[in-house]
Amino acid sequence: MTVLLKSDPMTQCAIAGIGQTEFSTNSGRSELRVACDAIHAALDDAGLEAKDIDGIVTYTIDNNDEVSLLRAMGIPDVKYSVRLPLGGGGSAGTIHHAVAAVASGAASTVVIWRAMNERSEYRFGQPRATPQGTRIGDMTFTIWGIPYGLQFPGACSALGFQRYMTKYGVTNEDLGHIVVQQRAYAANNPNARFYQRPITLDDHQNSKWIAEPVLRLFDCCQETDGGVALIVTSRERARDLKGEHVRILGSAFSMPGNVEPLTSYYTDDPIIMSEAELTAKRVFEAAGVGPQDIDVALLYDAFTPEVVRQLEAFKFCGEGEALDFVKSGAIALDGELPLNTNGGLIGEAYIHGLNMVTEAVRQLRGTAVNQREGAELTLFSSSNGAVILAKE
Amino acid sequence: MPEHNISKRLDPMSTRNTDWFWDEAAEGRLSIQQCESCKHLWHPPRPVCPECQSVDLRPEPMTGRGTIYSYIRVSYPPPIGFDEPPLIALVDLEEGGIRLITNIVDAQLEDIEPDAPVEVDFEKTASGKSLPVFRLVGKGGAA
Repeated sequence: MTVLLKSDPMTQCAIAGIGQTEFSTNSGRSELRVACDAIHAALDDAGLEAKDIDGIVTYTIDNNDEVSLLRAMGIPDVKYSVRLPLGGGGSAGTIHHAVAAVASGAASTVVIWRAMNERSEYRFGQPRATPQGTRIGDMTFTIWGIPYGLQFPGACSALGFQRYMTKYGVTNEDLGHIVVQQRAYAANNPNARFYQRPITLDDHQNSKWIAEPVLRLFDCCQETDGGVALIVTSRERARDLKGEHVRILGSAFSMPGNVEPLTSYYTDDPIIMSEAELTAKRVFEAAGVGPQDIDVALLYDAFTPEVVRQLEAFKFCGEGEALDFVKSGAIALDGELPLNTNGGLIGEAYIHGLNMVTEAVRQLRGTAVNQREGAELTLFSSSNGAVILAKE
Repeated sequence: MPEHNISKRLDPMSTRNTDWFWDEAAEGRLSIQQCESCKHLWHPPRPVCPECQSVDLRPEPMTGRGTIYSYIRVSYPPPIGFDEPPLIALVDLEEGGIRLITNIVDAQLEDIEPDAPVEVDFEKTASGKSLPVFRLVGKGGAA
């Protein structure tokens, strides 16, 4: 284990600005315009201008081209640009890479974005006959799943998780407790797709089966048009900026071999989310804190099984105990670990993880709609990566 | 999206690393990639053996027997190529270390139990390609 000094440059960065568009079923404008709107909002929040950006980071499945983005925004010169693999699994890793860029001096001001019209222009989560988009052509489900009817992400998640249900004797109704809490959070959140629309466990159990016996409709995030952007810079610089920045206390990225988001079927024990276990170890070491220190957790919840698996990988509870943990009330605002307090991807919007970062920042600023009193440390995980943010 | 016959299975995507798998199925064989050098079996197939870095990898016929690791019935949105919601399973082959995405055919969700023994069969796609699928042993006519 590396001994970290207080001056470790990887712990000396901040999120200086957050921005987003409205979350809707039809943005009415191009994905590039949605990206620009989200980035403008983040720049305004930080008190910066487009010309200040010298690094840009996103992750696969975003359709916006980097050159087109620079051209539209009038960004004159970028010194650092990466596009991470793994789709939404790469979302938290964008911050790790932005921090690495700033810490190394490769860039000073990095914008991270996600912007899609995944509801109005196409149906991101629907069955597909042929692979769409770059870098999706050689994924497990496109080659090996499509002829067998495994054609959309929800089914992929369910197929792996069914074994967990067998092993630990849990049911879809147990998963419903996660959704009821997250929809209660979303019901208070004016940004949320499900604002003022809480559900009961009966509602959850009456929603249609997607993949029996694992997943019902309400276990799934909903395709959303919208964008989110973040500005990462040094803490030193952030102190001089307008926005209330939060410290990036630790960040991590993990990409173990033979592991793939939602279709990690080929490891010895697919019940174990090895990428999230590695990420948890790395991010807690980097930040010098443990799971018991986290005030609010944001866990990438494209589907409820991913919440279960991350709760256990991060040791917020024991193996096989995540749903008992949830049912104990632990993820409520006054519980042991308020979870996905914006409503999550299931309740607020599916902006592939970045809208969980904005919530993690708001909790530290004290401006969340479901505010955990005195929150000082928040964690966002997308399994292949995670960040721990701290109030300055 | 291209036009397709809703009740006929979609063809597998063609790639240079995987076409042989479906060609073997067309001959009535469930074959898995084996490294000629170190004899490891690999799935999904890859162009290089990750154990010994050999590029001499060939199809090796399996017995076609295995057990069900996990299973679901996908009903909504309806998968393309099926009249009825398909039973999709992960099946572990008896040779060990190989897990396949497949269908359990001629069975209901209620018939399936974890670790149930299954045996390979083959079904055709819209264009006549063959896919390995599995049947519960002792049910639906498996030998």
